[in-house]
Amino acid sequence: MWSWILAYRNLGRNKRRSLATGLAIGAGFVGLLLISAYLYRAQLALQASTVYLNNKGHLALFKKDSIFEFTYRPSRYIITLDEQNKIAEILKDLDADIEFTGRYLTGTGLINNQTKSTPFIATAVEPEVYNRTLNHSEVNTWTPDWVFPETVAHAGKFIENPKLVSITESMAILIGKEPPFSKYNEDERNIQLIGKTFYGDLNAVDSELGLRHTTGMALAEDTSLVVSLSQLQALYATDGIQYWAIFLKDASNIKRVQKELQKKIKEKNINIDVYPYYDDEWGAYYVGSLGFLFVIACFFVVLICGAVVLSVVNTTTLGIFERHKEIGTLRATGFPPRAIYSLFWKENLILSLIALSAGYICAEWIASAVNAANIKFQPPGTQGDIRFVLITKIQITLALGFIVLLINFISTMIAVRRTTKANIVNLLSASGG
Amino acid sequence: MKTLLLFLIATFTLRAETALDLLKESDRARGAVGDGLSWNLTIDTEEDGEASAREFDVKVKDADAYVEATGPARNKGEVYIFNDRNMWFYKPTLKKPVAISARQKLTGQAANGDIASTNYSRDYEPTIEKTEEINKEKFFVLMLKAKTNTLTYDKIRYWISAKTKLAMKAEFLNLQGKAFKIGELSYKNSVKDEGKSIPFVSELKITDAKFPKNVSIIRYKNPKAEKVSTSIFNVNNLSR
Repeated sequence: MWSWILAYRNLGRNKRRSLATGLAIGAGFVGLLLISAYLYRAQLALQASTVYLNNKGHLALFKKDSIFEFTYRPSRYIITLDEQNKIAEILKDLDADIEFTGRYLTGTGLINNQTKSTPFIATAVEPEVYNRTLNHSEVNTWTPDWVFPETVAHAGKFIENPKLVSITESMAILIGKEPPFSKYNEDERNIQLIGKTFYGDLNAVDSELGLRHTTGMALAEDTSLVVSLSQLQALYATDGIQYWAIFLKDASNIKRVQKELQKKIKEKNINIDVYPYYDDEWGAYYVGSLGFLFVIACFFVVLICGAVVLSVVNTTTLGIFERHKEIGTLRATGFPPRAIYSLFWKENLILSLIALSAGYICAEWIASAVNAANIKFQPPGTQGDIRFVLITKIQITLALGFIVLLINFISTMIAVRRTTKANIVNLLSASGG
Repeated sequence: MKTLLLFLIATFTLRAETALDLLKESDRARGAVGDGLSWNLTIDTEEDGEASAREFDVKVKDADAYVEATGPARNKGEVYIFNDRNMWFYKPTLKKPVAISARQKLTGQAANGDIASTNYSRDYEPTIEKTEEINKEKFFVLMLKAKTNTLTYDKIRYWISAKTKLAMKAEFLNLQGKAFKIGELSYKNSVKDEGKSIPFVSELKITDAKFPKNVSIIRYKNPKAEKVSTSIFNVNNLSR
């Protein structure tokens, strides 16, 4: 116990240097915490957006090679009704893990309002599933500003009228029908979707302008259309689907459920592949965005850690240089090198803990201030503004604190090791301190 | 000098008139005659190893055409209306007809406009490019340029027999002037026009210029001259 008290008192002997070291550690920790807070939020927002808003599910079932080939030859890669029935049987067995599932179809065509036409890339959803995904607690928690409030509020309209379509604001301008669509009468809201059936024939279906949505991506805003599955199936004259998305109760079970699904699919002899949302091919946007963020974060983490290490090594080395005679005296009075060694890391540990605590409070305060300031920004290629939100997580904070402590410990050891083992006479006759 | 200039102008005028006359003459064998004409049409397509067939009943009068799908069963009741240079698609489940492009692919190599475009002389500006001899028969090779951008093709290179005045071959050109589809026509049918029997197209074989295995054959059957009511070409009559 006396060594802890001694270590604490030693910190006060050179307050300015202790303060400088403490500030370096604290500032570094604040930097790490804020980066982790941004990354944590970005990852969970991207995950919620990919799984629920982009309708990818935690897992998705596709015909083999369908991810790349479906657009070119949909009739060959469609999951037929017969295959859907087999999949439904398999999914029943995994009921305990599955929150809900949704069947999806995508395709292209023209949207026409009698006077103007523009191309669309449609995502066909099951109305109940669309309502559920938009109102999911994960979306509400992590991406409330990535979706229009009115889209969430009126998502249930799809259930009442499957002929409704949801279009983006850009598409609405292109066809000359600016939202809100409620200002138009029924005849004015009437539009037609034109496309090629999977048999290659021209086809058209009547639809009605109902909702407005955003894709979040500038490139997709001119062409995105959300339509009910039955409506797009009617347009393409098919009862098939492109993929079946599975939304799990607990996202941490993805790998296990994926394995079980693959096993059961193999047993049933269906030509279906299972993809998690973080698969390179299926979740390319998620993987790419997160990869980019991690690379940037790693760069900053290396910079911060480097600065902390250099600062700690520097101040500890200076301290040791000034305390050569003190170390020599302690050694001469019988203190073994290990005890002196321990004294220094205890000093550093106390300093680090104080700095980390102050850093944590400071980071929490900055995060709260940033969140309260409601700062919005537009990342390149995105449609609309995104709120800059920082969310700290206690497990990440503790892990980072441990990393900073470890870095400090190693830095102290590097600086102290040589001096504590030096000759006592040399230490006592040293000019420093 | 003046005489030479007059001679040159006269020559060009004569050449242009000849091209238009040739085109008008060839159009008669493709349906641009009398008060109206009707025929049945089948399109057999072979594309990327997959075969398909479509059947239609066609009624034309002047620049208008009414085309009703009769087969296969899933397409029965679908109607295409050519109204002047506009084209409409309608099926019984739709509230209103849909405006479509003549350039849009109908099936295989056949574009929507291919099923009832009869009046090239009205829609295209013809000039004689050259003359060619194929199997000892002289052909005028015409370059047809679209008068508007709503037509099925921008440019067509068109082979018209000097002897029969029938178009035997067509190269459908893209904006760069390269052929992307090749059409071959044959005339085994005949129809009565002003009391005279004239040859009528029996087959138009359209081949993909890059992938010659992709072929659509449009067969014209039972052509007959008949009075066609103009009301059937009114798109408003199709609305529910």
